[in-house]
Amino acid sequence: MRDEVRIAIAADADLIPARAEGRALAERQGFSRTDATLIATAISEVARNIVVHVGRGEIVLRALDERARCGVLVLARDDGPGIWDVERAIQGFTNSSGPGLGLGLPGARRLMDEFELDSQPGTGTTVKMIKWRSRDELELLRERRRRRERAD
Amino acid sequence: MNGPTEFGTAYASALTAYLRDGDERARTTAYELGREAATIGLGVMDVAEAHHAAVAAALGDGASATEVATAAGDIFLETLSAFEMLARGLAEARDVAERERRHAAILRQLSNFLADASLAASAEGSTHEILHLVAEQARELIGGACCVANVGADHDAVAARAASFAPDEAPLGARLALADLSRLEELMRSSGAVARLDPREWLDPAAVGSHDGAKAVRSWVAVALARLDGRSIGFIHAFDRRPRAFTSADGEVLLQLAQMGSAALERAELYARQAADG
Repeated sequence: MRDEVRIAIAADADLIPARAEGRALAERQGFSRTDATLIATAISEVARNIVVHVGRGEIVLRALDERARCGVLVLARDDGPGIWDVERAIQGFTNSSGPGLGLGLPGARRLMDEFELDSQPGTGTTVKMIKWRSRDELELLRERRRRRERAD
Repeated sequence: MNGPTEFGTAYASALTAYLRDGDERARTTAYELGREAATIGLGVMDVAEAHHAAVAAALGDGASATEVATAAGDIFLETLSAFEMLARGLAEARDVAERERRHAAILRQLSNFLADASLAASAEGSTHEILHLVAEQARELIGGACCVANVGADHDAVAARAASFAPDEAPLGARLALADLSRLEELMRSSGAVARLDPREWLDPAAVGSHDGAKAVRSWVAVALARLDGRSIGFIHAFDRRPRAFTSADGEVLLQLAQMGSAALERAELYARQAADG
């Protein structure tokens, strides 16, 4: 299983592999069909942001595994001119997708559990998003059993 | 695309393509369709109508009911994901409106509390009580792990500081209650208004760094308490471990709180002076 995947983003067509990899990772991490769709949508929005505003960048996808939860980490990076008003870009009072519709970066933020945007004018932008899934007791029990069996 | 009819045709094509290829390309088309539909003002019911027609057409073409049901579910979810973003945006806007309403109510109530605090028996007791109220209400209004309100030694009353912190943030509250905040405060004396920054660049890591596995403090917003003539007499600080935890709207709320707190402190001084004069 690949724990990290990188997808170069330079055109609308690159959204397709980014979404496919994100969905596949979400399914491997045990997310429901609905949540996998929301993760794919959030990836589409940040990738689209790169294509529209910068032209070139990359999406990095990583599996996260903790004791009581697991997740999908999405990093969207570009070396563009950066974002002058980060708060406005995140909150979505206005955005490039229309007059306050709430798609784009604010839309992606609302679909994920964690969202950070790091940008300085002239040094590019990195968006970090995480979607978490709690592991229930039964799942933890099965995992402990699997580990014991492997150890034996 | 400019209406429900064209949307219905495009939706049916996306479902047909997905039934044929079952790949991400058709799913991406469905996501794009939903996005466009939301942008031009179509609603969830338009999507439902198109979905129903596309499923009926697919079944009429002889595809198996199981295959159509699974594929149609995937395409439907993709199309609705844009509407999900909009729905969450609306819910967030409602929350913001509710929070603003609550802020206004808290500030009205605080105005009465501060008036009472100004009348405390001694100037020192009054200052402490006002700072305590301001720190408590700052955290109530904008959240955050810890809020600190202070007045400096150049104030006519003695230097004083009060901190309010979340129940599980007592160690951080204790560190910040003693932290040296003067570097930023000096800067704010000249620049005024609201400062929002990353405290790790300004404060001793012993105060804001990670301790006992807890994350470092990443957000800081501060406003000055100022006399009517503009001289600053103290500050309100709010801290949180989340990055960019405070918005410009939070800064505005703190400014409002600072104006009320400053007026109460000046009033308390006046009462104390009158009492001393007999």
